[in-house]
Amino acid sequence: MSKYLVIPRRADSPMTHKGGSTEETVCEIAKNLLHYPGPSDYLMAIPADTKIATFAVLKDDAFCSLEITPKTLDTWRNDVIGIQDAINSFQSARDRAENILDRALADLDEAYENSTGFKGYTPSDDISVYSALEQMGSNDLEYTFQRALHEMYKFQVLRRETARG
Amino acid sequence: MTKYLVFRNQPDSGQVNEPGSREEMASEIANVVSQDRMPANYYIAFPIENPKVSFESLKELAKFSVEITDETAELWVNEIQEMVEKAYMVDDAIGEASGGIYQAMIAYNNAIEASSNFKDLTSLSIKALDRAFEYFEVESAYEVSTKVEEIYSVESFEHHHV
Repeated sequence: MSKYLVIPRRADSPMTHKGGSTEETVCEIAKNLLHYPGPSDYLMAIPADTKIATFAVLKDDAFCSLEITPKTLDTWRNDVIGIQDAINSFQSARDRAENILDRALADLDEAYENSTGFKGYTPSDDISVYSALEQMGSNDLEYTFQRALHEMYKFQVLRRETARG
Repeated sequence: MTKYLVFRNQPDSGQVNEPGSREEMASEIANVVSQDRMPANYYIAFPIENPKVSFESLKELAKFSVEITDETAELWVNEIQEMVEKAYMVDDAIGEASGGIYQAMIAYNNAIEASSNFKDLTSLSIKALDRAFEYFEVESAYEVSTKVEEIYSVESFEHHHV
């Protein structure tokens, strides 16, 4: 198991992580778990047992810490991206479904509202994709998955920071 | 008021309801009440000329009877047809919406199942979504269908899911 601290990379720093290295992946994980808005190469991963790491903590420079094993590194590379993509696709499908139904129901509501014989009933009161999916717990997918990742990587936030411009 | 008997039109009968006629209207009304959303001329309607004789002898074969007055005919043209169309559009939207969600749910469940460390995450229940969308479909059609059945005094001679 290796523990890393993730710090911001100075804009003028010529140092970058080697493509495919553990440090590069650590920065990707940190970006994801921090919801860091900039690219992951704005970050640097440093082993926690180094002097630079101690210095970064003293300077209050570190964003977060996380722990990596070869297995959890593989998990990130092989599983996490796929599941994250699936969650994102699901959210998109849900948004799209709500849009499609909202539009159709608004038309039907209007037809009811304008009628003489059917007034008083609002179809959209009884049909809601959002509430159906909420009951299934699908609204918590992202949260639950993120929590599982936090535990797996023993992720700890040390300082909140927005991306540099 | 005219009462119509509505029959299942056999595909090879060569008969169709006259466009714009009350017979066509009675067939459409039966279609709405049945909630089966069948194509035009799936049903064919005939007025009961002599209620005492024709009704008793033909109702064995008929699927529905429908009563139409000038007033309710006007209501059909001015309001209900549009409402039925909008309800069908909701049904179509439900189909489209559910299709996208099903695919995404299956992709998510597969991703969890194929992973080495996330099998414990709860997979999404396709059955629960099935039930939710089935309920939506019934709800979107039910209100219109029930009202139409009432306004046109529709009698159903077979068990339809009315």
